Order: sequence, then C-alpha cells, then structure tokens
Amino acid sequence: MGKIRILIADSHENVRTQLVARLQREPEFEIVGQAANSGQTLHSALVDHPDIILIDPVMWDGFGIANLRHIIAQLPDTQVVVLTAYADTSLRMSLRRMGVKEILTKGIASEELVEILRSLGAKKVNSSKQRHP
Amino acid sequence: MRRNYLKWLTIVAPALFVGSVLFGRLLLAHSPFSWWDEIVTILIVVAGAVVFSTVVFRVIEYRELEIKSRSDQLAALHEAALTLTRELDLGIVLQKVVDLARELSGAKYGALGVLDENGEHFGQFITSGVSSSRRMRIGPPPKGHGLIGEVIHQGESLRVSEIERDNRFSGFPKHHPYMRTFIGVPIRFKEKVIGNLYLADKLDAKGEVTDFSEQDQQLLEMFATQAAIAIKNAQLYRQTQQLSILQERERFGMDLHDGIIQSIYAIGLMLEDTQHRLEEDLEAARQGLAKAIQGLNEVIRDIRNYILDLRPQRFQGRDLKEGLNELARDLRANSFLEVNLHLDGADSITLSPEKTVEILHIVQESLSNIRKHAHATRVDVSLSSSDGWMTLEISDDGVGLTEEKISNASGSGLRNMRERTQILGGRIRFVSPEEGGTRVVLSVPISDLQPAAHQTG
Repeated sequence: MGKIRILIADSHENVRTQLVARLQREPEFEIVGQAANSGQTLHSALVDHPDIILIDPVMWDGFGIANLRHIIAQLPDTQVVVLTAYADTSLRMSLRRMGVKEILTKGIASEELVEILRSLGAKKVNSSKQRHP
Repeated sequence: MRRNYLKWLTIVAPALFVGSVLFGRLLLAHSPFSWWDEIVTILIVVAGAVVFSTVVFRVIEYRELEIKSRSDQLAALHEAALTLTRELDLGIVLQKVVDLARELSGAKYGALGVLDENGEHFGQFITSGVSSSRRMRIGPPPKGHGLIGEVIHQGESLRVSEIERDNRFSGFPKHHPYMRTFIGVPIRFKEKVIGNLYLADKLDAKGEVTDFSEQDQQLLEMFATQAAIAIKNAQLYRQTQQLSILQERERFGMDLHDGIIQSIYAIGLMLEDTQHRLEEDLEAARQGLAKAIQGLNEVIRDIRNYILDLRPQRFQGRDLKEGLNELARDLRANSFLEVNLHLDGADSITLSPEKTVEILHIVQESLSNIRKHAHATRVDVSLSSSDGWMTLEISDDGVGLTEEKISNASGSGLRNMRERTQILGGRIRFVSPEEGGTRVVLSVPISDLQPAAHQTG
C-alpha cells in the first residue's frame, strides 16, 4: 500500500512551506510537489499525478479558481481539498459547484487537516483496490 | 485599356475583313480566270476568321488567367484571415500576420512593426524569413529612419524597386541581409495606424528577385485590414486577462486583511512544529520560537497600520446603503453572526461623501467590537430619519457593555467612534439594557433636501 501523494498549492510562501513541513512529518504522506501559482499547480497536477491536491485557490496571479476548474475537469480521479483564508459564502458556492467536496479554512487544527487527508487518501486506495481485485 | 482595345478590334476587324474581300473581288474582276474569284474569296475569309478568332481568344485566355490568379489570391487572403481569427494570443497573432503576408506576396523577407501609443516608435518588431541568430546579430529594431520611417510618416503604402538607389534609403545595419525590392503597407484600425507591414525581395516562379506589383499592394492592403482586426482583438484579450487578475484580487480581498490571517496561520503551524522539535532538537526549537515572535511582531505592526489606515480608499465612491451592505457582507464572511439590515429609510437620505465615509467607519468599528467582544449571535442595523436628523442603530444580543467601559471609553474603539461623531456634529449613545445585549445609537444632522414639505402657496 503506497503513500498518499499530495500536491500543496498556495501563493503564500510561509503558509506553503509550513504546510509542507507539517505534512511531511506524517509517514503515510508523500509531498510530491509544491506550487506557488496557477501555472505551477497545473504543471505539477499533470506531471506528478498527486492523489490529493491541497490548494488555496485564491492565487496572486488571479487565475487560481479558473485553473482549479480546469484541473478538476482534466483529472477527475484526483481529490481536491481547498484550504483557504477567506470564508466567503459565494466562494464556497462556486467551489462546491465545481465539485470540490472539502472546503477548509485556515485556522483549522492541523490534526483535523491530517485526519481529513488521511481518510481521503484511504478512500482512494480502496477504490483502486476495487478496480483491481 | 485592354477592354477598349477588344471593343475596337471587334468593330475594325470585320470591317477590314469585308473591305479586303471586296478589294480582292475588285482585283479579280479584271482577271481572265473566273473561278480564281471563288477560291481567293474563300481563302481570304478563312484567313480573316482565323486571325480574328486567334486574337480574340488569346485576349480572352489572358483575361481568364488574370481572373484565376486574382481568385486564387483572394482565396489565399480568405484563408489567411481565417487563420488569423482563430488566434487570440497576441504573440502568435503578430508572428502569423507577418508570415502570412510573406506567403501572400511571395516575398523572401517580411517584418511587422507594431507602433506604441505615441505612434512614433516600434513597441514590437517581428520578422519572418530571417533566422533568429541572424536577427540577434543585427541587433535592436529599426528606429524609424529611411524607407521604414517613410511609411510611418506618410501613412501610405510605398513600393520601391531598387532600395539602394532610392534617395530616402538610409542604409542597412550591420549583418542585415541585402534587399533590392521593397513594399511597405500601413495597418490601420479605425483610421489610426497601429503598425506597418514591410516585405522585401519578392521572388518570381524561377526564384529570382522581382518587383512587387500593383496587385501585390492591393492584396497586402486588404490583408492589412484583416490583420488590424486580429491584432486589436488579441490586444484587447490580453487586457481583459489582466483585468480579471485585478477583479479576482479585489473580489477576494487579496489585501492586507487577508495577509494578516495568512501570516497568523503560518505562525501557528510554525509553533506546532516547534512544539514537536522540543523533544529532538532544542536549538531548532529555540530558533523556531524566535521566528514566531518576529512574525507576530510583524503582524502587530500590520494590524496597527490597518487600524490607523483603515484603507482610506475603502469607502470612497460608495453611498451609505452600499457601504452598509458591504460591511454586513464582510461580517457574515468572517464570523458566525446573523447580520440583518433594515435600510428602508436609506433612500430618502442624502449625505455628503465625507459624512458617508465617517459614518461607515463608525459602523465598521462598532461591528468589529461586536465580533471581538460581544459573544453575540445576531446583529441588527437600522436606519431612519426625521426632522433633519438621521439615526443609525446597531444592536446585538451579546454580553453587553458595562457602565465602566462606557464611561471610561477604554479601548481606542469607543474613543474612535466618539471622535468621529464629533467631526460629524452628531451624537452617539451606548446603551446596555437589563435584558442584555448592546445598542449603539448614532444621530447625525443631515441637510433637508425635500422642499416639497415646506412649500407655501
């Protein structure tokens, strides 16, 4: 049973590096990429094939949300977890409409974040087990 | 001119023909052998017909070839236009324009100079037919001298068959390929020249350098019209892309406020990490704490700036209703409070922009206090007016303000509100009834702009 591969995409450098450091401490996680803008996010999503993309879609380049929509369409098997500072209802609605199931706000306890990622990762493993009995 | 020639030919030739037949008959009238008459007549008729039809058909053939060539060129132009309209990326469009122009005119070299806003200098200069290494050796783009400049200044098409002999020519830069024939065509969008197409050394069927024709010029001018539209499209598309960046930033508050939350979250994660390191690496833990303290100090500085600054631009251009709606939206986004606005009285109130800004600042302060200290579940904001006074009430169902807090006005928040009220020439009251909760009542004098109520007679 392989590690859960995670791509971390966030425009804010401090947040991104801290998230990487924190999640790397979990033995079942493998951080396969870091992205600071939409371009890097897309590239890593397509090239590194993460199981989970942990992303703050509000990016400095202004294309974060459109880019995420594109990624979800291109990679239906990749799970997307949004972790954002802004809890605006209209953003939430847009994200849900795009198919994002997990929308978390920054300030969440790390244990909870890890738990959510772990259970999503397990779902992935189970579904692939089902496909290859 | 060819048409007139054909017309005259069809009149003159038969006349000549009949004339020569009659002349022939006349000659033969004196000959002793009478059957020569008929033979010669027939021969002349046949010869005449052959000559006539050959000439006419040759002219027709020539015309047909011309038409075909024209039609091919128009097809090529159409194809080029379609290719162009498919592109929205500015860089790709510009390169395609010059490549297609080269194809259409059969030129060895092509260039496209896009003018900057002043219309004097080239913002961009794209080439076709010159390798990129050669291009680099030639160096910077032309500054608008010589023939190139001539097209810019005249704003008209220009055809030259011997570049070096032309007295407007100002010389080739080093490493620039030798060129003999030249055509420059301005690209116009809505009467304004946005750039110029330059083609050089047209090649004929044998691969020899030849002059650009009148037809080439017309074709390129037609193409230039299409190119103008495609270039403008691409430029506008690029602008809207940049605009969407601004909109997204504005929409999601990519500003200081958002940055503060991000910084604090990152510091929280850092402290967690420090906690973890206490067991294994004391030195690293110490450094982590130092970094966290530094980070927090920066955040305090940012927040202080934010309070003092309160984004002075923030409430510009908003009227009271819009501003209150925005504040309510912000509060809902950043807390679990139920926020209700009762603004039916707002429409009849006219306030100066300065007063509006002050009032919105007061409301913002009040809402901020509620969020931080009141432990409330719901906030109501209502607006009313009477007798030249506007009254704004902000009430919550939280813990309430103590007498002490109100009278001492401890905390810059309440003090701020009082100061601003003074500036407005108004009154502010903080009420905390027995049942709990808090009510802030702000009254501001406004000009009465309803003369109807006071009209007499």
